[in-house]
Amino acid sequence: MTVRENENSIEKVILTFIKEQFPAASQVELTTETHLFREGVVDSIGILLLVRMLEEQFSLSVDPSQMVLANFETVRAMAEFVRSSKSEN
Amino acid sequence: MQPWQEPELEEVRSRHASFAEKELVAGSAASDGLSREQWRACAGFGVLGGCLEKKYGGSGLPLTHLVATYEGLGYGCNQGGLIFGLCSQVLSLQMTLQVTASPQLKERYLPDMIAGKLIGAHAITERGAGSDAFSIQTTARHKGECFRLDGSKAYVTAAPDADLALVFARTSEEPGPFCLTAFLVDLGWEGVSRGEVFNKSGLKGIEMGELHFDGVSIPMDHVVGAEGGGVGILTESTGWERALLPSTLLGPMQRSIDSCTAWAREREQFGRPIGAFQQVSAKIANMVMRHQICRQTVYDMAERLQQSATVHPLTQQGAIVKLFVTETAIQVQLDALQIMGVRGYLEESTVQQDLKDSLAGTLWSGTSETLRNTIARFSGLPTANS
Repeated sequence: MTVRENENSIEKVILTFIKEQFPAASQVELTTETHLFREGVVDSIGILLLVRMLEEQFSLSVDPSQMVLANFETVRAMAEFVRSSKSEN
Repeated sequence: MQPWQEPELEEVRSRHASFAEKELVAGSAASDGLSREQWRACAGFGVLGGCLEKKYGGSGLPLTHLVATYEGLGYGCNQGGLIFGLCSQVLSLQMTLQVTASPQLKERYLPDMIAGKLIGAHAITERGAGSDAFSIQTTARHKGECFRLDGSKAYVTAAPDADLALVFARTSEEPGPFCLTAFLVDLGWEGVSRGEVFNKSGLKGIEMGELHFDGVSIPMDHVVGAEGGGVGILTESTGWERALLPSTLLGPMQRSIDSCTAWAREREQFGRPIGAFQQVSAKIANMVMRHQICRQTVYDMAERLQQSATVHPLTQQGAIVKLFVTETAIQVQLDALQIMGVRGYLEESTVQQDLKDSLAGTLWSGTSETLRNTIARFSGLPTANS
């Protein structure tokens, strides 16, 4: 797998999870750039489900201080967060 | 051997029960008011710092010690609210700040909280926002080098007495969970006032009230976590409470079991002790069984948390612990009332007081309905509004 394919696979895992877990995702045209909160795709408990998924799928440990909009507003943002967290470790 | 059966923890329970019987019951009517003298006596006995890091004045003990401490205090003290308030401060403020606050905030406030010099409150609920925490109306806006805090909090434990509060305020109109920021607010600052004191049915020994904020200037260094990161802080504070605040219900359950057993041996009806009637003995057997499973559940949670740097990976488990123990405690206390009969219904009886205290359990730090929703969502069920 190339580096680029590997990068895209992170987005794919997150997109698949959101489509499976959040029925509201079917109400919008979900892309890696869709704003998950303004579009009402993810609710308040949903953020904790996303954190759990990132921790389990990508072997991360998310610090409470990292639970901010910039890291979770879109699938792309979450994927970037995963990449930066993994490069730090 | 189960964790709660370890002799060391039995010693912790027994020592704290004796302390509570001596220092927290004698001469104290079960009133709503908080006694600072008793609060400081508790701090002096180490109940606020047991599991906190030594560098902040704590003792660095494992979390199972915290459970044993509050189980013992709950057994020996008839002021459920005082024990609840102490444990709540340890979990929702001290442990939360230890995990999430800046080194400066921790160094400045944790030692005095642990020493009992400062009393802290957790201020999220408003008259119009309870389970829907992200609909709060209190705001914090940038103003020069500070935030300007405006709004009111209601049903805040220790509000009339607290010296500082972890306050959650709306810092953006962004929809979703990132609209909140957490602040550590000195309640002596200009613009802070105390409002109504609510007359509770139970949890005597600590008052609950309102806090008003009118243009309070909060220095930037009193933000806890990141701006817009209130959801992470709230997850920690409620997570700690849900996981371990049920410790406070274990002692009163045991006390009721002991009272009922003694009464069922002593009280005779129809020529026999009432404990010889199977409808009574079965109730006591159920009380013992339920208490033992609650104990096992809370101590097991403490051991799991000990292995985790933060609470959020155990969100579902914490909800399960809180839901199970609080609902079970009500059943145990209802059974106790039934066995004690009219004597248990008198104001002077600890049985009716323990029952009233246990009723609050399905309300604080997430109602049973909220917790069932969390458990269901973490099991893969969709949200109702999807």
